Amino acid sequence: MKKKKIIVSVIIIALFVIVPITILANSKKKVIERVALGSQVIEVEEGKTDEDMLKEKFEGDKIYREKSEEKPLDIDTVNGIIPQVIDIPQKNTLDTNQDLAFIKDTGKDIKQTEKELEEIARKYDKIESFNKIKDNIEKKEQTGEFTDEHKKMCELFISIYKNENLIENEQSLLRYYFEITRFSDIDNELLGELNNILK
Amino acid sequence: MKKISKRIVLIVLILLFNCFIFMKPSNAAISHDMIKGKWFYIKNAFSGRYLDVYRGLPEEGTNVQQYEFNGGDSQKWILFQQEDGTYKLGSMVGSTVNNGTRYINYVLDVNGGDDGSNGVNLQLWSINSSAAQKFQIRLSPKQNSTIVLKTGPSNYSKAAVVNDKSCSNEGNVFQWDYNQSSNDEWILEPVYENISLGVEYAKANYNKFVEAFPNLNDWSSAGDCANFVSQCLISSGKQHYNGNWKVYRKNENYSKPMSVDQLNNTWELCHPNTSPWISAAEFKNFWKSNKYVALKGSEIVEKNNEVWNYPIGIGDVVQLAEPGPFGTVGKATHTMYIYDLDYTNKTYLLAYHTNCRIEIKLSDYGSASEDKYFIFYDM
Repeated sequence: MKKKKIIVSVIIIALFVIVPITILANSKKKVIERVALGSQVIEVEEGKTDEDMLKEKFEGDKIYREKSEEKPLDIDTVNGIIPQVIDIPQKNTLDTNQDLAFIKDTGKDIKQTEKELEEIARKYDKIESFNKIKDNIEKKEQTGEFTDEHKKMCELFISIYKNENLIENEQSLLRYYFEITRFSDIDNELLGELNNILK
Repeated sequence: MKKISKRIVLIVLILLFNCFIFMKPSNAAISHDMIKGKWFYIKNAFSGRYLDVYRGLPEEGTNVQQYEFNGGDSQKWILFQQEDGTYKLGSMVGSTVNNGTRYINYVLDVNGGDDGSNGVNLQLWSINSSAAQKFQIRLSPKQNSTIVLKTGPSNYSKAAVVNDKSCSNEGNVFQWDYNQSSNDEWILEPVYENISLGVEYAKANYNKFVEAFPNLNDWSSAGDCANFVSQCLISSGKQHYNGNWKVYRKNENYSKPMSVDQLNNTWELCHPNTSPWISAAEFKNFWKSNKYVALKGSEIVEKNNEVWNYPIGIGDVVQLAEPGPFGTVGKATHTMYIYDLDYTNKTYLLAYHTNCRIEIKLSDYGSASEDKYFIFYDM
């Protein structure tokens, strides 16, 4: 009987000590350094990094999906898992008119601009090259990237821009095209060329 | 029966103890848990300059001042919380390393020991137990995540203040009445990355403006979006002032500039037309190496699961951009900070300025702007 008491007590004390230490050790942040000020010594820990945030996102998502598959979700269940998502009351909803109204009007419609550029290419005998480049662009998946073909297109219009016979409207359109192209992910060489034209 | 009851009580106590350890800390504003035992650059909330040990001199009596960012030891401070809840601010200056432990040798100190008068200077001094080295750290009543450093000798009625709202390097820091003016207040910027602090900054300031930065909200040619997101990034220790990435106040004239001339008059940035702090387009150019992907708003809706599984999360940035010619991504027009996640809808929650919004779902923005591009930055 006495032996049993001792065993049970040891098990209880072990639970009391080992379980929290194990779990705390797993959740412990990386220590950057130990710092002492007078008699105080602390371990300076890392804050949450980009990697920590991503890890939490995917772990949180996994837990959320598992729980939602078990039974229909209710607020109390979800609150117990991810309180920070549910507890924050809804503060704003997107008001399309208000939220997008402040974005500066960029002027021309981009499709209209492309048509007008095509006309310029036609007028200055560059329509064949223009169509070839445009076809190559359209053949590839549209990812928004500024590709080599886009660079060729820009260089084509730079060559037209240098034409002495260019009229004011055409010059203005090309400058507009260079202005918006400048903000794409272009290389420094092309950027330098466009900055020179636009200064 | 008695013995069984005793065991049951003991088991219940153990379970309660374990629950106590796992209690999640509050998700409220900056807490002591978030700042104690951490290294910070301490920026004045008016001038934008940093608490600095004069020339980094490791000597008793070295003046403490404000100076533009240099990231050196003279600007690194560690917050040691004391038993009574006050703090000692340890300086990296003069610290030594022995057997893997860094020993702080100098702390922020109010000259004169127990003098609570206005104008008493702040300096560096070796560690002692006097009130001169104790500071209460309090959140500003403005609730914009700025803090007040209340001084021990004044019985915590006065604060560490930049003299005369100076906007110059070597502007002096001393003890003065706390007037709730921004030069009486400070911003803690972590030396090491700490995205939680960036999130708290976003939540506190999505509808406020800190005077250490220009308020561009009403200037239609600029807008405040890139400015706000840049502040969130610097508050998370993700990026510190470097080259073109900086903003300092020169004077009190135009806290809310409405023209390039006014901006130039009061604020020191790189050339205003090319500063990533004030222009979404320049932000895009400055951070292009962090770009992960760009896709149209319609694709965000169609490919919701795929977008959710991007290596993008809290602390990262999303920009809105116009379509460029021939299928390219054109000029960026808006910049937003991801501060939280919506697990139910598998989307990102955004905070931003110009319209001062928080808790906007990226998926909603995508469906409202189907033809525009959304650029994701893995910061």
